[in-house]
Amino acid sequence: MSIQRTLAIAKRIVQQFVHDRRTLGLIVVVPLLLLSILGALFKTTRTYQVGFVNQDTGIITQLGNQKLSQKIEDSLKSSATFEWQIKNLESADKGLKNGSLDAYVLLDKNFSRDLLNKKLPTITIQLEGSDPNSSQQVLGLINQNLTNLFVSQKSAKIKVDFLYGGEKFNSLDYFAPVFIAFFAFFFVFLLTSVSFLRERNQGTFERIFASPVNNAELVLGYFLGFSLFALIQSIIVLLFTIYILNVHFLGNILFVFLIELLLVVGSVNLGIFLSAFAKNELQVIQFIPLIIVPQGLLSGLIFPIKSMPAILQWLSYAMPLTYANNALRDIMIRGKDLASVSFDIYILLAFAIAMIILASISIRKGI
Amino acid sequence: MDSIIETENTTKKFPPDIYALDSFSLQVKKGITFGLLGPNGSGKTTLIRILVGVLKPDSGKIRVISNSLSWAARSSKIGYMTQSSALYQELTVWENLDFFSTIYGVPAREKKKRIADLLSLVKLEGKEKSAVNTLSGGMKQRLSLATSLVHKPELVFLDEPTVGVDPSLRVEFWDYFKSLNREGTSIVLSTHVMDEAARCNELALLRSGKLLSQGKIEEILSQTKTKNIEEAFLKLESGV
Repeated sequence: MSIQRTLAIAKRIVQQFVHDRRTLGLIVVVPLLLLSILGALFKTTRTYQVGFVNQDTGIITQLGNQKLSQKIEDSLKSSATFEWQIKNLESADKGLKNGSLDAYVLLDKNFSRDLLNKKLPTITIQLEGSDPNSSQQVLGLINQNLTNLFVSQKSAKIKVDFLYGGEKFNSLDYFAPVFIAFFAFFFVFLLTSVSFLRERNQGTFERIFASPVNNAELVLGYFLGFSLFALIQSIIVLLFTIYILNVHFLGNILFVFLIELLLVVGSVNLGIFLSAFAKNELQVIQFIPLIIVPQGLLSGLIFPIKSMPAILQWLSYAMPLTYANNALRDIMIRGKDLASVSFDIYILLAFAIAMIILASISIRKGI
Repeated sequence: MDSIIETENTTKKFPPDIYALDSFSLQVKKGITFGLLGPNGSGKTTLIRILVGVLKPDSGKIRVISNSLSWAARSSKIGYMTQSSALYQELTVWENLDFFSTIYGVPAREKKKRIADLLSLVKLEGKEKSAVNTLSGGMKQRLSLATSLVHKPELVFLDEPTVGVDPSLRVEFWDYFKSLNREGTSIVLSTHVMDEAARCNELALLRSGKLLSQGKIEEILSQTKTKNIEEAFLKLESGV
């Protein structure tokens, strides 16, 4: 094993990137652009248009006609979650149909009477319903509003506390750590597989394999060269998410890099391994929907693993990105140390070793 | 004279049933320019690839320099110029030479002079900072030759080295090959051009993976009772 030869390969990769400034720029600019879009998407909360139809006729008491629903109406009007529109039933139905309303809340004519007679009053929530995702959000938020209202009527006190995160945490805080890992994994895989394929096709591998360079030096040289760019990318992405997108960060930044480093070792070698099965760059691109997209969908990047069907959960636990995501969320959001994520580290290490073995076996294929 | 290469009954078959080399036996003496002459598909490149170690034969014995050397030690004594200019296209002329000299273990103190001398030989002075992808085909071929010689190898394999090189530079190349021979360097080159073959000290004539004949040109001509290599080749070929 020659350090000189290994470093020569790493240096050559660095030089190639330095000359190829467009690729270099894309490595940094694309993740920042995507994170900015995600940041804007996650930080913008949609204000739902909700109608309020109050048909309550009230109840005659010694104090006159009392409408207990009035308090609800006044309270909901001051809620910031929705834009409330007071409607009659006909205009509310019309609003749902023409898209000006997402839902409406209907209090029937016996609302006050039922409440005073200690019967359960009926509150109807009519949803537009074509988008299940929006429907669930609206329903959840209306329920939350009404619950708060009824609880406050009875003078109960709800105390909310957070083990991790807090009221200021938003979706971007939860997604940023895993996107950092995803970008490193994706770009390093893509660049390694394309670079290796290019070496095979332009004949430089033929020269390398006739030289004193051995498989270990080649794989390590490639890893060092690409890791440098993965590290630079990660630093820029991390600083951007913390200081520009104001993502909350509790953990140790060195732990984040360690997890990324393990992931990148696996990714470089996965790229080397798979490049042996592609004859041209178009075929390498086909590996993206095969290898990268399933990891994006099943690793807990966007969809929670626990809510997946059992078979998909099994698949997600077979993916290295799942463990990187777990570890990075634990470190960045929950402020945990390396010992707490040791299981994820072992799995990432095992993945890296397995990929190194596969890359070493396949490296001379097709030469 | 000692031989630097020996092969005995070397066979290489490619799927489905193509014999690139068929029981091929050959000896190459030290310090000479040895030519592999044959048409496309005759097995020249396959033989070179086996001898430099990038391809494994199916059967037969092979000795290149010495079998007692480690892979790294032997390959550092070998130079290899592939048929297509195998260069890093985004890197500059200097960076390519620097990379190959480093992986072949050229000492740092000698590197600068070695690279400058080779650039002068292949007439690429002043192009040090040019990216390879901006060079002409002939320039790339010359640079490819320089990268295969940068570590002063004991044995050089050149696969069609003068393709795309203009006639005057071709003459200079051949003068340089002869000067390398005088310094003790052995050269094995492949060609399908008859007048180039005539410049070699010894020749092997190949056809469909078989060795038709091997020896000095005059020996081959006398053996075949012909006046030139072209006639000798045709006569031997018709006997296969």
